[in-house]
Amino acid sequence: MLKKLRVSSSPHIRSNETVTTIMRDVLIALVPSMVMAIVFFRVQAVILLLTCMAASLIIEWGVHITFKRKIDFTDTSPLVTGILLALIVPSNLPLWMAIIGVFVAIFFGKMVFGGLGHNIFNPALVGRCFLLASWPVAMTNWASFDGVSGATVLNTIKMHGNSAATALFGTTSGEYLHMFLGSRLGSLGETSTLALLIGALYLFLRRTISWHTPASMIGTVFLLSWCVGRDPILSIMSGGLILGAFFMATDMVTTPKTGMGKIIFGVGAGALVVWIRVKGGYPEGVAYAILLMNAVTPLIDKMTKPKPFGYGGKNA
Amino acid sequence: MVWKFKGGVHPADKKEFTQDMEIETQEPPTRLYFPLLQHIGSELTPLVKIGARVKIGQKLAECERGLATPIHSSVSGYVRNISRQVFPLNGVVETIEIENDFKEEWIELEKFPHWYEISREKLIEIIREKGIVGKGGATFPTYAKLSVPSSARIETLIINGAECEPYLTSDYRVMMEYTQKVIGGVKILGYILGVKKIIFGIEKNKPHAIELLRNELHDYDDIEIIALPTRYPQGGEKQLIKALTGKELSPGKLPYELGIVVQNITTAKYVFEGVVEGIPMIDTVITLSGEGYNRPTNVLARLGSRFKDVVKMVEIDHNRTEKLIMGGPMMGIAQYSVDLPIIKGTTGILALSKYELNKKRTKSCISCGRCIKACPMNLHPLEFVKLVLNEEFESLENFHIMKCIDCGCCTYICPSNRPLVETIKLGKSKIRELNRK
Repeated sequence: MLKKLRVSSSPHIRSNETVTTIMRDVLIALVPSMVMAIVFFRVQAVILLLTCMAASLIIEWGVHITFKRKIDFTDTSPLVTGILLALIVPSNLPLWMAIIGVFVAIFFGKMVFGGLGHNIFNPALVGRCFLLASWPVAMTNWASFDGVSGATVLNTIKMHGNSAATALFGTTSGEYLHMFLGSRLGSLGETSTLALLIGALYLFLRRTISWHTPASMIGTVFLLSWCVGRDPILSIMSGGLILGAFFMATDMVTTPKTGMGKIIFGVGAGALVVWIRVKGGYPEGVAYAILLMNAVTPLIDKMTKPKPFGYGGKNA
Repeated sequence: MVWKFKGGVHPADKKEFTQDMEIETQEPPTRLYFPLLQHIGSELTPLVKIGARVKIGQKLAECERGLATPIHSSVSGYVRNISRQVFPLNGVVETIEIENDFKEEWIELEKFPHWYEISREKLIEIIREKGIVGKGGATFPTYAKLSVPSSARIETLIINGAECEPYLTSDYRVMMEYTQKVIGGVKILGYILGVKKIIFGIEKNKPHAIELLRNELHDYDDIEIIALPTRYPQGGEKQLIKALTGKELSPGKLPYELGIVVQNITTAKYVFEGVVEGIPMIDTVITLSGEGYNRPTNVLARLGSRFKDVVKMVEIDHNRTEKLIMGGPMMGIAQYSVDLPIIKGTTGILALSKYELNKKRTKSCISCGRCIKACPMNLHPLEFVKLVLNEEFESLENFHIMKCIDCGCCTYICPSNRPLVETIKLGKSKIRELNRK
């Protein structure tokens, strides 16, 4: 008896890329930032990262068990959410708060919508905003790498202007260098622009993310900051902009699908960032800017529906 | 100059297994099966009766009306049965069964070596009589593609030698081994259409074929051989026209409205044989490739042979073979048995192992947009799937689902292994059903 042949519709071959490899690439891209976080914040960073990672997996699997769904152990997306959340909170945040943040991120940010692929908002940012609204003091109590707490660059600009921010580091070039390497106040993973850019470069080379969103978002912040009289280079390196533009605004599930849509998303998010920074009550607005744009993503997708071949549409 | 068409994917071309294997000739088997529907168009009616003796090249079936082209016997022997049988294009169709008597007797062939003295209409009639169909995959009768309205001015003849499907090397071997017949056939096609210009489009992964044709044709100012990037579906008719001329065919229009006719390169070989040598389409070059075979190669097989008659030549390993595919891995049709007959459109029989299929786990759509980016028709595959599953057929048509060419790029690229093409095909057939009502 011959072995039975399998019959199905074409195509019969598949590319090597899977959701698992995409998530693995994002995890690899986050390694430089995690390393820099550990370099600056030492044991605190290690404990916070491990707590969030463990919590994310336990909560994800726990939800699956509670609702009698099959656990997919190849799905590493909860780890991505856990790590991202750890990277956008202060290093000395109490661990129980971090765990609550992870729970909100995974349960209310993702699972209530139906799990990976069905969520509307970026889960890690949902978690962060919940924490910021619930414990605003703990969420803005920045510990610097040498254990001294103080105000962030953005806070200083908001309160005292550009020159006061420069005074934090001595000279303008010294300021840029500190901002670029990451030896400054801020959340765990958002301080080192260099580490984030290394990770982002990896994602570009693997073609996991496209240039559209990061370029349009950072470009918009650069231009608008310059227009309102802020130091544009400082503006793009401070706060969570680099982290947000490369790792949050490029989340596939919650952002537009076409190139044009991604550019609209990036410009919108960039404009909101500057607006919140300049006019809003918070010194920083990346998280809210991205979440607000997440909300209009279905609309952007509708507006940028591709024109079929032969209808005279632009071939993007 | 080469234009870029939007989308597409880059699967590994896997042509190294068979591209340097010369075409082997298959020994004709004892029993042959001729399904009476081997092209797009109407089913044929038999011209022979059970028990009749037939010779090679003898017409077995014909349809006087509608889009159709006859089929011919590929062996001499006796008609043993005419009954409805399963055939490789999925479905059941009237099939003529012939027992080979191995006498290899031919009918009297009518040859036209001085074809340039014959009228175009007469040449088109000869091509129809010889049962020639396009070898590019859709098996559209060649005569119908040549019968353009007299009002249309055809400027350009495009010869499709892209062969963008992975694994397949039959077009390539034909270019290498039947170079003169291909060139002769192209000249006949150019004469029939009265074109000013002939462009060969060949993918860059076939440098020897490009060089060979350039050497053979460098005296002709009106013939150009263009090397195309290796990208699937480069050989899709609309994509090829775009790549070679920069023109985008509007929906519902045919290439002749742009002054263009596209013909497959192997079709040209059959046109030459049909007109100059009088031989009807009774054989086909087949690529036998994939990890299921111990000795992948290219074979010239008689139409009507069964798959098992040719695959045994290359020692198929049934334990390793997960899928048997007629055609390429992107658009070919999976077969459930090796007992099915070879038809005019068979250009490859692939035996793929499970490693080659690279089956992934199906997960939720993560809206990554890769299917939109890969779609050469610039459609919205993931939206189609949502609408089909919700049975919103009206919105589906507004989303232009009918423009889908089933190329498979979206399903190939999808990281969540969503059944995109399958669902789109379902949606299209539902819409056709609704429109008929």
